[in-house]
Amino acid sequence: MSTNKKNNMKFKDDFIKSSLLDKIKDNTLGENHKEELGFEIPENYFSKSKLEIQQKVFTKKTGIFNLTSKQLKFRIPMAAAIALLFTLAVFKFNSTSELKNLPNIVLDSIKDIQPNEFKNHNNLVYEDIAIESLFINDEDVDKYLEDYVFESLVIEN
Amino acid sequence: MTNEAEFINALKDNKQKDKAFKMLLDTYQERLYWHIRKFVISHEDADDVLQNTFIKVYKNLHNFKQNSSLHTWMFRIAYNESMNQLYKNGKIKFLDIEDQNENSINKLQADSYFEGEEIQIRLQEAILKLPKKQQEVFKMKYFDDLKFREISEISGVNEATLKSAYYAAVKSIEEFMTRLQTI
Repeated sequence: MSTNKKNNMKFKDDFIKSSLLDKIKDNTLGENHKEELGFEIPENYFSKSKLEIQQKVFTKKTGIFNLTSKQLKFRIPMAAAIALLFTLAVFKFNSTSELKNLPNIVLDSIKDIQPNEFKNHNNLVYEDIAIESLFINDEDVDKYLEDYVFESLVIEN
Repeated sequence: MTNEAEFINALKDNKQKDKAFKMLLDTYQERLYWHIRKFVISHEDADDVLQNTFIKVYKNLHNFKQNSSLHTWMFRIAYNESMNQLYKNGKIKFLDIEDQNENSINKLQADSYFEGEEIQIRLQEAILKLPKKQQEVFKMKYFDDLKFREISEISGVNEATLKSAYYAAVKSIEEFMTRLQTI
Protein backbone atom coordinates (compact mmCIF):
# COMPACT_ATOMS: atom_id res chain seq x y z
CA MET A 1 0.00 0.00 0.00
CA SER A 2 2.68 2.38 1.04
CA THR A 3 4.76 1.33 -1.96
CA ASN A 4 1.90 2.07 -4.31
CA LYS A 5 1.38 5.39 -2.68
CA LYS A 6 5.06 6.13 -2.93
CA ASN A 7 5.12 5.13 -6.60
CA ASN A 8 2.13 7.29 -7.24
CA MET A 9 3.88 10.23 -5.61
CA LYS A 10 7.00 9.53 -7.59
CA PHE A 11 4.97 9.55 -10.74
CA LYS A 12 3.55 12.98 -9.92
CA ASP A 13 6.97 14.32 -9.08
CA ASP A 14 8.29 13.05 -12.40
CA PHE A 15 5.26 14.36 -14.15
CA ILE A 16 6.10 17.90 -13.11
CA LYS A 17 9.73 17.49 -14.00
CA SER A 18 9.18 15.90 -17.38
CA SER A 19 5.87 16.75 -18.92
CA LEU A 20 4.25 19.59 -17.05
CA LEU A 21 6.50 22.24 -18.41
CA ASP A 22 8.55 20.28 -20.88
CA LYS A 23 11.06 23.06 -20.64
CA ILE A 24 13.98 21.63 -18.72
CA LYS A 25 17.03 21.54 -20.93
CA ASP A 26 19.68 21.92 -18.31
CA ASN A 27 19.28 20.71 -14.79
CA THR A 28 21.65 23.20 -13.20
CA LEU A 29 20.15 25.35 -10.53
CA GLY A 30 20.15 28.73 -12.26
CA GLU A 31 18.96 27.32 -15.56
CA ASN A 32 16.23 25.45 -13.76
CA HIS A 33 14.88 28.67 -12.30
CA LYS A 34 15.29 30.62 -15.50
CA GLU A 35 13.68 28.01 -17.68
CA GLU A 36 10.79 27.10 -15.46
CA LEU A 37 10.05 30.31 -13.66
CA GLY A 38 11.27 32.88 -16.16
CA PHE A 39 13.55 34.57 -13.64
CA GLU A 40 16.41 36.60 -15.06
CA ILE A 41 19.28 38.37 -13.34
CA PRO A 42 21.40 41.38 -14.36
CA GLU A 43 24.63 40.68 -16.19
CA ASN A 44 27.52 39.74 -13.87
CA TYR A 45 25.12 39.97 -10.96
CA PHE A 46 26.76 37.30 -8.82
CA SER A 47 30.28 38.69 -9.08
CA LYS A 48 29.08 42.24 -8.31
CA SER A 49 26.91 41.05 -5.46
CA LYS A 50 29.81 39.05 -4.03
CA LEU A 51 31.95 42.19 -3.85
CA GLU A 52 29.13 44.20 -2.27
CA ILE A 53 28.55 41.56 0.38
CA GLN A 54 32.26 41.35 1.18
CA GLN A 55 32.49 45.13 1.42
CA LYS A 56 29.50 45.31 3.77
CA VAL A 57 30.61 42.43 5.93
CA PHE A 58 34.27 43.36 6.23
CA THR A 59 33.60 47.11 6.60
CA LYS A 60 31.11 46.49 9.38
CA LYS A 61 33.62 44.26 11.06
CA THR A 62 36.31 46.96 11.19
CA GLY A 63 33.84 49.23 12.98
CA ILE A 64 33.54 46.82 15.87
CA PHE A 65 35.75 47.57 18.88
CA ASN A 66 36.99 44.38 20.40
CA LEU A 67 36.29 44.69 24.09
CA THR A 68 38.02 41.44 24.87
CA SER A 69 41.29 42.65 23.43
CA LYS A 70 44.27 42.33 25.72
CA GLN A 71 45.42 45.73 24.53
CA LEU A 72 42.42 47.19 26.30
CA LYS A 73 44.07 46.44 29.63
CA PHE A 74 46.73 48.98 28.77
CA ARG A 75 44.59 51.41 26.82
CA ILE A 76 42.12 52.23 29.59
CA PRO A 77 44.71 53.15 32.28
CA MET A 78 46.73 55.03 29.66
CA ALA A 79 43.67 57.03 28.55
CA ALA A 80 42.76 57.76 32.16
CA ALA A 81 46.33 58.92 32.92
CA ILE A 82 46.38 61.19 29.88
CA ALA A 83 42.99 62.68 30.78
CA LEU A 84 44.14 63.33 34.35
CA LEU A 85 47.42 64.87 33.30
CA PHE A 86 45.70 66.97 30.67
CA THR A 87 43.40 68.40 33.34
CA LEU A 88 46.34 69.07 35.63
CA ALA A 89 48.27 70.64 32.81
CA VAL A 90 45.49 73.08 32.01
CA PHE A 91 45.24 74.28 35.61
CA LYS A 92 48.94 74.24 36.29
CA PHE A 93 49.66 76.16 33.11
CA ASN A 94 48.46 79.35 34.82
CA SER A 95 51.59 79.54 36.96
CA THR A 96 54.04 79.06 34.10
CA SER A 97 52.51 80.87 31.16
CA GLU A 98 53.41 84.43 30.29
CA LEU A 99 50.64 86.96 30.51
CA LYS A 100 52.22 89.23 27.93
CA ASN A 101 51.57 86.64 25.26
CA LEU A 102 47.83 86.90 25.79
CA PRO A 103 45.71 89.01 23.44
CA ASN A 104 45.01 92.64 24.50
CA ILE A 105 41.40 92.04 25.34
CA VAL A 106 42.42 89.49 27.95
CA LEU A 107 45.18 91.70 29.37
CA ASP A 108 42.71 94.60 29.72
CA SER A 109 40.31 92.40 31.63
CA ILE A 110 43.02 91.24 33.96
CA LYS A 111 44.27 94.85 34.56
CA ASP A 112 40.72 95.86 35.48
CA ILE A 113 40.62 93.20 38.11
CA GLN A 114 44.10 93.83 39.55
CA PRO A 115 43.18 96.65 42.06
CA ASN A 116 40.89 94.18 43.83
CA GLU A 117 43.43 91.43 43.65
CA PHE A 118 43.64 90.74 47.38
CA LYS A 119 39.99 91.23 48.03
CA ASN A 120 38.85 88.87 45.35
CA HIS A 121 41.91 86.67 45.29
CA ASN A 122 40.02 83.41 44.82
CA ASN A 123 37.77 84.76 42.08
CA LEU A 124 40.73 86.27 40.26
CA VAL A 125 42.64 83.03 40.26
CA TYR A 126 39.78 81.00 38.87
CA GLU A 127 38.70 83.64 36.34
CA ASP A 128 42.28 84.03 35.29
CA ILE A 129 42.66 80.30 34.84
CA ALA A 130 39.40 80.03 32.98
CA ILE A 131 40.26 82.85 30.57
CA GLU A 132 43.80 81.74 30.07
CA SER A 133 42.86 78.12 29.40
CA LEU A 134 40.90 79.28 26.39
CA PHE A 135 44.07 80.56 24.76
CA ILE A 136 46.37 77.64 25.33
CA ASN A 137 47.56 76.29 22.02
CA ASP A 138 47.04 72.63 21.27
CA GLU A 139 50.71 72.40 20.37
CA ASP A 140 51.69 73.59 23.87
CA VAL A 141 49.45 70.96 25.42
CA ASP A 142 50.84 68.26 23.15
CA LYS A 143 54.40 69.32 23.90
CA TYR A 144 53.72 69.36 27.61
CA LEU A 145 52.15 65.93 27.45
CA GLU A 146 55.02 64.56 25.43
CA ASP A 147 57.67 66.09 27.68
CA TYR A 148 56.01 65.40 30.97
CA VAL A 149 53.78 62.37 30.50
CA PHE A 150 55.93 60.22 28.32
CA GLU A 151 59.37 61.23 29.53
CA SER A 152 58.72 61.89 33.20
CA LEU A 153 56.05 59.32 33.90
CA VAL A 154 56.03 56.55 31.35
CA ILE A 155 59.77 56.22 30.81
CA GLU A 156 60.79 56.79 34.44
CA ASN A 157 58.26 54.27 35.69
CA MET B 1 38.89 21.62 3.65
CA THR B 2 36.38 18.91 2.85
CA ASN B 3 35.31 18.18 6.39
CA GLU B 4 32.42 20.41 7.44
CA ALA B 5 33.54 20.50 11.07
CA GLU B 6 36.97 21.77 10.00
CA PHE B 7 35.39 24.36 7.79
CA ILE B 8 33.13 25.57 10.60
CA ASN B 9 36.14 25.83 12.88
CA ALA B 10 37.86 27.96 10.24
CA LEU B 11 34.76 30.18 10.05
CA LYS B 12 34.87 30.69 13.80
CA ASP B 13 38.61 31.28 13.95
CA ASN B 14 39.46 35.00 13.74
CA LYS B 15 42.59 34.35 11.69
CA GLN B 16 40.89 32.17 9.08
CA LYS B 17 37.39 33.63 9.25
CA ASP B 18 37.56 36.03 6.31
CA LYS B 19 39.08 33.53 3.92
CA ALA B 20 36.61 30.84 4.95
CA PHE B 21 33.73 33.28 4.61
CA LYS B 22 34.75 34.05 1.03
CA MET B 23 34.67 30.32 0.31
CA LEU B 24 31.24 30.12 1.90
CA LEU B 25 30.07 32.99 -0.28
CA ASP B 26 31.42 31.29 -3.41
CA THR B 27 29.67 28.07 -2.54
CA TYR B 28 26.28 29.30 -1.39
CA GLN B 29 25.65 32.65 -3.02
CA GLU B 30 23.88 31.35 -6.08
CA ARG B 31 21.93 28.62 -4.33
CA LEU B 32 20.67 30.99 -1.66
CA TYR B 33 19.82 33.65 -4.24
CA TRP B 34 17.49 31.29 -6.10
CA HIS B 35 16.05 30.00 -2.85
CA ILE B 36 15.21 33.58 -1.84
CA ARG B 37 14.08 34.75 -5.26
CA LYS B 38 11.27 32.19 -5.40
CA PHE B 39 9.81 33.58 -2.21
CA VAL B 40 10.21 37.32 -2.75
CA ILE B 41 9.78 37.17 -6.56
CA SER B 42 11.46 40.46 -7.53
CA HIS B 43 15.19 40.63 -8.19
CA GLU B 44 15.64 43.80 -6.10
CA ASP B 45 14.06 42.22 -3.03
CA ALA B 46 16.07 39.03 -3.57
CA ASP B 47 19.28 41.04 -3.76
CA ASP B 48 18.52 42.85 -0.48
CA VAL B 49 17.54 39.64 1.27
CA LEU B 50 20.64 37.83 0.01
CA GLN B 51 22.91 40.55 1.39
CA ASN B 52 21.11 40.58 4.73
CA THR B 53 21.36 36.80 4.87
CA PHE B 54 25.13 36.77 4.45
CA ILE B 55 25.59 39.63 6.90
CA LYS B 56 23.55 37.68 9.47
CA VAL B 57 25.49 34.51 8.75
CA TYR B 58 28.80 36.32 9.28
CA LYS B 59 27.64 38.02 12.48
CA ASN B 60 26.19 34.86 13.97
CA LEU B 61 28.81 32.30 13.05
CA HIS B 62 30.06 32.23 16.62
CA ASN B 63 26.53 31.31 17.77
CA PHE B 64 26.20 28.40 15.35
CA LYS B 65 25.85 25.36 17.60
CA GLN B 66 26.05 22.75 14.82
CA ASN B 67 22.71 21.23 15.78
CA SER B 68 21.99 21.20 12.06
CA SER B 69 24.30 21.23 9.06
CA LEU B 70 25.81 24.53 7.98
CA HIS B 71 23.87 24.15 4.74
CA THR B 72 20.51 23.88 6.54
CA TRP B 73 21.38 26.68 8.96
CA MET B 74 22.10 29.06 6.09
CA PHE B 75 18.94 28.10 4.27
CA ARG B 76 16.99 28.71 7.46
CA ILE B 77 18.42 32.21 7.78
CA ALA B 78 17.64 32.91 4.12
CA TYR B 79 14.11 31.56 4.58
CA ASN B 80 13.50 33.71 7.67
CA GLU B 81 14.87 36.79 5.94
CA SER B 82 12.62 36.11 2.95
CA MET B 83 9.57 35.79 5.20
CA ASN B 84 10.51 39.06 6.91
CA GLN B 85 10.74 40.75 3.54
CA LEU B 86 7.33 39.40 2.49
CA TYR B 87 5.89 40.52 5.80
CA LYS B 88 7.32 44.00 5.32
CA ASN B 89 6.00 44.20 1.76
CA GLY B 90 2.54 43.04 2.85
CA LYS B 91 2.52 45.25 5.90
CA ILE B 92 3.43 48.33 3.97
CA LYS B 93 0.60 47.72 1.51
CA PHE B 94 -1.86 46.30 4.09
CA LEU B 95 -2.65 43.29 1.90
CA ASP B 96 -4.32 40.02 2.85
CA ILE B 97 -2.96 36.71 1.51
CA GLU B 98 -5.01 36.67 -1.71
CA ASP B 99 -4.15 40.25 -2.49
CA GLN B 100 -0.51 39.52 -1.72
CA ASN B 101 -0.53 36.67 -4.24
CA GLU B 102 -2.19 38.89 -6.84
CA ASN B 103 0.34 41.55 -6.01
CA SER B 104 3.17 39.03 -6.44
CA ILE B 105 1.96 38.10 -9.93
CA ASN B 106 1.71 41.78 -10.90
CA LYS B 107 5.14 42.41 -9.41
CA LEU B 108 6.55 39.48 -11.32
CA GLN B 109 5.20 40.71 -14.65
CA ALA B 110 6.43 44.22 -13.95
CA ASP B 111 9.90 43.00 -12.90
CA SER B 112 12.45 43.90 -15.55
CA TYR B 113 14.32 40.71 -14.64
CA PHE B 114 11.40 38.44 -15.44
CA GLU B 115 11.34 37.16 -18.97
CA GLY B 116 8.80 34.43 -18.62
CA GLU B 117 6.53 33.29 -21.35
CA GLU B 118 2.88 32.38 -20.83
CA ILE B 119 3.68 28.92 -19.44
CA GLN B 120 6.06 30.34 -16.82
CA ILE B 121 3.57 32.96 -15.73
CA ARG B 122 0.92 30.25 -15.42
CA LEU B 123 3.21 28.07 -13.31
CA GLN B 124 3.97 31.01 -11.02
CA GLU B 125 0.27 31.70 -10.82
CA ALA B 126 -0.45 28.06 -9.98
CA ILE B 127 2.16 28.14 -7.22
CA LEU B 128 0.90 31.43 -5.83
CA LYS B 129 -2.66 30.07 -5.65
CA LEU B 130 -1.52 27.38 -3.21
CA PRO B 131 -1.87 27.82 0.55
CA LYS B 132 1.23 29.46 2.01
CA LYS B 133 2.75 26.32 3.55
CA GLN B 134 2.19 24.33 0.35
CA GLN B 135 3.90 27.07 -1.64
CA GLU B 136 6.90 27.00 0.65
CA VAL B 137 7.36 23.25 0.67
CA PHE B 138 6.82 22.98 -3.08
CA LYS B 139 9.45 25.63 -3.80
CA MET B 140 12.00 24.11 -1.46
CA LYS B 141 11.41 20.51 -2.53
CA TYR B 142 10.92 20.88 -6.25
CA PHE B 143 13.24 23.73 -7.12
CA ASP B 144 15.87 23.63 -4.37
CA ASP B 145 15.82 19.85 -4.22
CA LEU B 146 16.02 19.88 -0.44
CA LYS B 147 15.20 16.79 1.60
CA PHE B 148 12.03 16.79 3.70
CA ARG B 149 14.21 16.54 6.80
CA GLU B 150 16.06 19.69 5.75
CA ILE B 151 12.84 21.54 4.90
CA SER B 152 11.53 20.56 8.29
CA GLU B 153 14.58 22.07 9.99
CA ILE B 154 14.35 25.21 7.88
CA SER B 155 10.64 25.88 8.24
CA GLY B 156 9.97 24.31 11.63
CA VAL B 157 7.14 22.14 10.25
CA ASN B 158 7.25 18.38 10.88
CA GLU B 159 8.15 16.04 8.04
CA ALA B 160 4.78 14.25 7.82
CA THR B 161 2.94 17.56 7.41
CA LEU B 162 5.45 18.67 4.82
CA LYS B 163 5.07 15.50 2.78
CA SER B 164 1.30 15.74 2.65
CA ALA B 165 1.51 19.48 1.89
CA TYR B 166 3.97 18.79 -0.94
CA TYR B 167 1.86 16.16 -2.61
CA ALA B 168 -1.27 18.25 -2.21
CA ALA B 169 0.65 21.09 -3.89
CA VAL B 170 1.78 18.86 -6.74
CA LYS B 171 -1.81 17.68 -7.27
CA SER B 172 -3.19 21.23 -7.29
CA ILE B 173 -0.56 22.45 -9.75
CA GLU B 174 -1.10 19.46 -11.98
CA GLU B 175 -4.84 20.09 -12.04
CA PHE B 176 -4.39 23.79 -12.63
CA MET B 177 -2.03 23.27 -15.55
CA THR B 178 -4.12 20.46 -17.06
CA ARG B 179 -7.19 22.66 -16.90
CA LEU B 180 -5.31 25.41 -18.72
CA GLN B 181 -4.22 23.02 -21.46
CA THR B 182 -7.78 21.92 -22.11
CA ILE B 183 -9.12 25.50 -22.38
